[in-house]
Amino acid sequence: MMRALYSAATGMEAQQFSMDTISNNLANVNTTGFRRNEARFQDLVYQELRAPGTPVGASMVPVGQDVGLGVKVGSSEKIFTQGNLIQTSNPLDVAIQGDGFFQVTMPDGTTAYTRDGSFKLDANGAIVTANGYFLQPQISVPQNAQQLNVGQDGTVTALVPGSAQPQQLGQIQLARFVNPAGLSPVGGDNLYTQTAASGAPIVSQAGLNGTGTLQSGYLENSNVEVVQEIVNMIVAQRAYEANSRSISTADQMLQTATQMQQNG
Amino acid sequence: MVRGLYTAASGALVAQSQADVIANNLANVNTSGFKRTLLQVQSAPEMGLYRRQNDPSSDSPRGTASSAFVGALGMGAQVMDTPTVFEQGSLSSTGNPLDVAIQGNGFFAIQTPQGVRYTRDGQFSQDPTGRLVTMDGNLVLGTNGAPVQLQANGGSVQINSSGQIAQNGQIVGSLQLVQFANLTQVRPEGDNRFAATPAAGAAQATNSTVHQGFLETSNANVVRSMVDLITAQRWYEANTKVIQTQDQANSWAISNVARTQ
Repeated sequence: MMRALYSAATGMEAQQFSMDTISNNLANVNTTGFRRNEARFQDLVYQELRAPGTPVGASMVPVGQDVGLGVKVGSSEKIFTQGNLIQTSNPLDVAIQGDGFFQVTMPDGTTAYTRDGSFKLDANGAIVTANGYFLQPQISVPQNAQQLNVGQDGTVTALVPGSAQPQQLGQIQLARFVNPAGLSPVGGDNLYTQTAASGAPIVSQAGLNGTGTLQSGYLENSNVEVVQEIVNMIVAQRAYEANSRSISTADQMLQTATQMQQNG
Repeated sequence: MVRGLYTAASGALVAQSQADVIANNLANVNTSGFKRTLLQVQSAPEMGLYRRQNDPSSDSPRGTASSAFVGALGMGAQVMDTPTVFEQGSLSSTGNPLDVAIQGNGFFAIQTPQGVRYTRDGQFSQDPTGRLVTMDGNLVLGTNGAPVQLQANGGSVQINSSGQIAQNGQIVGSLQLVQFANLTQVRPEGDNRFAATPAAGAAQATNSTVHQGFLETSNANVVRSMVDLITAQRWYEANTKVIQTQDQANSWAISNVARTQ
């Protein structure tokens, strides 16, 4: 059958994937610390009908003939650009301004990474994520502490009774990756895990070694731009339509071919 | 059989190839750095038509055919070649510091398992050791022919219009940008890559400029492709109509010419 049918089908599949990605971005437009995905495409192999340089008498064919066979999804890349900071005035809401991730201890003991700094205290005063996972290194806030504060370098301080000066309770550390786009978002919950592609985490104090600084009382919003996503959606829809036209045209051509023979 | 049947079939086949090419262009309308393919058609070799004339001076009952040349008879159409159109695609802003677009005739050089290849797709990222890689993990080459190595502990990356990369205010490398004397010999390989055949000439320096935070969109044009698709469809139909007409004429001849009653 015609190659056009299959090429156009790959085009429609690719645009569907693009649409899936855009929908997920839009669904997370208000998710703290969310990072948008972008579908990226590559052309498929070319079928060579005649190679350039094929001898023709004493000369040769200057240009070959090849037909491309469509498109595939190359990657769906996480784009780690900064999201807007939104003021909440809650001292345990911490936003990272710049590169880096908070480290979180998962129930199975492994470490996950997140940009979502909406921390809470558990019953024992330990700083945990919204899901109840411990921040790493673990920091505990005494029951009767007041004026909790997180500094730009991650130092957590509070006024404890019996002491005139704020006491240091611990320091939040940030991990950064050479290739953050290689992190795996598999678990959801705004958490990422390390992969061979991301490289090993480089852990340091906030503000050092290329990590960002911390802003207490703020949350980092999703980096999804609604207008950009809508534009991408329009592009995906029109590209999908154009590919469906290729299919219907190829179909009509084949129909013409099958109706060519006269009966009788 | 009647020559016209084969002539019309050759036209229909070329129209079908045209639809195949357009379908691939449309499938890649969102592929960054994609260059559309053009189908070029030529007439098939012509054959000479000669008039058979009985020569009165000959004794042969059938006469000898003197070969009076009547004219050339076309034998249909065939695909001449499928050049890639390296027209500039428009640049679209992504804001991603490792996305780079080329304005001009240049290509990025990348190291693949099959050897050095060229691409217009500047969707780069870093591997765990800080080297600049393409979407497929192929290494992006610098002007010194070695992979571009960024600082492993990061810092914001600035790429200037000549492809020079600075990180933390320090120059860490420069993207290799090349162009070819004979672009028709730079062939697409898929995966947004091009291979330079020996006839393309040596890779030379280019004055193309690089734009950081931008990607070059596909140069496949939807409107133009739609028009071409309609043309291809009608072209195909016209040829099948010719086949039908010839077929009907044959059919009539078979059933009526030898009829005796």
